[in-house]
Amino acid sequence: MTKSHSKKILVVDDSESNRLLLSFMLQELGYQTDDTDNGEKAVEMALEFDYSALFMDINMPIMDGLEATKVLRSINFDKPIFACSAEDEPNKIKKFMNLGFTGYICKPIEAIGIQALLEQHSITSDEVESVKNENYQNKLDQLSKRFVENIPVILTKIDRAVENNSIADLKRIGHKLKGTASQFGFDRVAKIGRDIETAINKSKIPVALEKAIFLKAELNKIRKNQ
Amino acid sequence: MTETSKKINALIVEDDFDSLEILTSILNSTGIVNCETARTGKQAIDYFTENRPHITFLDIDIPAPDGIETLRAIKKLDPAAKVVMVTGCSDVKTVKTAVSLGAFAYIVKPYVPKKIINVLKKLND
Repeated sequence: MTKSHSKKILVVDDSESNRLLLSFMLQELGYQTDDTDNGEKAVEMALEFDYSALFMDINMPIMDGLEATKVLRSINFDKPIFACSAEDEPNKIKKFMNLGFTGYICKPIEAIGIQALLEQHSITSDEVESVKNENYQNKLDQLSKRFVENIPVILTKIDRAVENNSIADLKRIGHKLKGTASQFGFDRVAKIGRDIETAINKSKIPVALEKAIFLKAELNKIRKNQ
Repeated sequence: MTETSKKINALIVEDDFDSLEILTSILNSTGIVNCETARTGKQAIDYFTENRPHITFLDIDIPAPDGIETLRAIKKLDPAAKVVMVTGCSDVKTVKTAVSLGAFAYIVKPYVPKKIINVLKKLND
């Protein structure tokens, strides 16, 4: 089997063995994979990362595969979502399709079935090419440069938030960096920003303060390397 | 493409300058979008009332009213309004609230040009 794909697929199943098996098969077919065990996390990950397709179990705790698919389709999420279920009754399969699934694969899953399904739906056919517009790229470069120039200001804001014990300000800084830093290729800064926000949301203030130290170190590293 | 041939009027509601610049730049790169901007929920609602843009890109974390309340107000003015939530927050509770209020799409930052362009393509579906 070839291992030439760079496309990433999200596997959603509450059974660890099913997740591992399906992920293994997809990897053998040459795809990268992520996995999660419930529909809620699947919605969050599908919106956050750029997956080429999702394989979604139906019966799961917290949020089942039907609701997760319904939520995603309601907001025009247009990537293929394949239902995985032991269900083989035609009426139920039809119901899955009406809810927005792109295709259906019956458990127990076999690699040959997955390959056929992915080929049948040629998962890249409806994607548009990334914008290679020169003006856009120039603008991004320009903003990236400005981001780096602005690092001393961000560092001062972090210091002030920590000194004043202003957790709301620290959360705001984390939130903003989460959204913008990876746009400029500073994924590590974005990740720490996200960690700070998550820690504060969970009232884990000491963790957030510790992450703030890592954030400063990472920002200083970027500044020195430029 | 000339200004006159542009046909999609978009409102971008965003208080963060960098995010605003990036999204504007992506939309401008298509050559078919006229962009207007608002920095607060109030400005967005006022602009929408007057101009009824074809599509609104609405950040959630904006000065009052926030993006969710602004979405509610816009959908009240026009239930068919196409409002795309743009945010750094992918938590399901917020997504479900946006769905229940009739958001057209939900995009999590950082901006990926093809996601934005796919949303524009959906406008004509």
